[in-house]
Amino acid sequence: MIALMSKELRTYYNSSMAWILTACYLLVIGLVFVILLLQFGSASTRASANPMGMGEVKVMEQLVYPVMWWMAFLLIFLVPLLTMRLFSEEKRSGTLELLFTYPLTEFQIVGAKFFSALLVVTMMVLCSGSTILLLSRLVKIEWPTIGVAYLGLVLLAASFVAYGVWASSLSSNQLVAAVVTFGGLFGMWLVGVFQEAVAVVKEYVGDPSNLTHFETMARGELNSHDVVYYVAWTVLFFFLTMRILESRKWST
Amino acid sequence: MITATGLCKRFGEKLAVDNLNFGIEKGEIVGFLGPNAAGKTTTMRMLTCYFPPSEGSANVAGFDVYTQSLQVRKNVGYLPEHVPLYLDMSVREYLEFAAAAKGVPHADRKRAVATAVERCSLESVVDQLIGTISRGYRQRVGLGQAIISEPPVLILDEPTVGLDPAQIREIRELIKELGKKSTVILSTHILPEVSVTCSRVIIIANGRIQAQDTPQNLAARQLALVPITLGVAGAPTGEVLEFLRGLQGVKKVDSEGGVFRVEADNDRQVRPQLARAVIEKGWELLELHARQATLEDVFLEIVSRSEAEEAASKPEKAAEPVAVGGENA
Repeated sequence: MIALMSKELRTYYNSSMAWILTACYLLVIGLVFVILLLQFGSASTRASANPMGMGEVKVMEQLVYPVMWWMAFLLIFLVPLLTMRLFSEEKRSGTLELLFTYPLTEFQIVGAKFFSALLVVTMMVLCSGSTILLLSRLVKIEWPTIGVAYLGLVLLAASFVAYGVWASSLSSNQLVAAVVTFGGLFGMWLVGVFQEAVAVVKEYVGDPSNLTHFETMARGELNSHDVVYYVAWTVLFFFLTMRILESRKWST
Repeated sequence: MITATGLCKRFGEKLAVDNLNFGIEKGEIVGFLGPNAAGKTTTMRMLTCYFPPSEGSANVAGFDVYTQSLQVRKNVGYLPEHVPLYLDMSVREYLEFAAAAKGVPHADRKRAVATAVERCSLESVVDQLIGTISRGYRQRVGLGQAIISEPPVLILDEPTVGLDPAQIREIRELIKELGKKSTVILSTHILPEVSVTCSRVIIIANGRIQAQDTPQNLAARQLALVPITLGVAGAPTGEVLEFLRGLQGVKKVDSEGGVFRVEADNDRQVRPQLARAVIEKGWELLELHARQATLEDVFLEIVSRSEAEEAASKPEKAAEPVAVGGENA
């Protein structure tokens, strides 16, 4: 499993795919950070100019939280590009057939793909922490909140990657895998947006969206049901991917 | 080393492999010979645990392919058809990966890679990307990954397809060399390949074993029909053709520039009869020669017979399989 994982990581970083995606991610996060910082700056100037002491500003709530939210939101676009080739490429070139005849279990094969992609995303997300570090020199940061938010970000990434890996195992076409992944993740986000508007969804389905579970964590609240949600989602798609790979054996 | 008992594989309605029974001893190089879609690859995929058999069982290197799949896979090196490789890795990286994935201990990996590189003569390309090396070298890299953990069993699916004649010869030599250390199964639809490399041939058609023997014994088999070349002068071609067709035991006659190709029952009576009849007619007998059966003749006869049986067993679809059979032959 280590062998396969290091091979996957090498492919990611040798093919510059990981570098380019990380660069894009950091660029957009940087832009978002600058824009939010300027907005926050003008808001706090206005607040301090208010003689009544009204409109107090909170750094964590009004600056850090939106930045974290964008970090999570951007993953909807980047994870599909990162996971699309994992199985599709091997299916198309036939190397998957050879891999199945190596002394590796399906669990090891899926695990190697999953963890290597998750590692790339985690690296990406951790690099984006530079914005928070920068901020910590200017204002007081509540580090436990940041810790929980980053835990949430990694859990969210794990659920996205598990879903992306599963989508990649469905098709030998990378584009199909990417579209299925993006459609699914974006759809889940939309569900989260609409659930506020449509009471029925909220009542019967609870919180189905990946991103809404992150929103509480990004504010520093660590609830077991959010963690359980992500773990369950990840395990479900991990398991489904294994079943897809095993389906070649089902023809009787 | 390898035994198959009642091995079957079904894909939906279609029976791709039908009740295969064979045993392969340690150190043999066995060729699976058969037309395309005969079930060779399917059989190999079952032996390498890509998918399990629908019925029956197979034992490879002392382990069952279904219940002890992991152990089987540890003991088998497989080269699939079309040689799938990671084109963005260098030869060395790829072989190191294969060694690690196959569980070669860390301390032995460098040596295992060096040995594979040496045995497959890959020294000159070892640091190139696989995507940039020639087809012949890729085939060698494929063989290299198969032997990297020095497995006792090698399964090679059409190892020489798509190579030029010089490369084919090199790969055959290499396979023979590898056969000294391992038991080898290779599949092919190229006849000279088996007579050159294999110690035994298993002919498969329509998912069934049609014959298994050494290439020499197979070639020495009595054909049902014997091809005879007959040179006759002193009469118009049409007349001779007409006459020959009327003789007892003669199944088919063609002519080509005064030489007649006769297919007759494989019976000692036919040839003297032919000679006598030609002389009695007052024609000149220039040549009479029964050709020694080649492996190709035996193969074609076995395959076409199996297809005829197949067609006969499915009377409602009789027309279609016969047409297909003609193409394959």
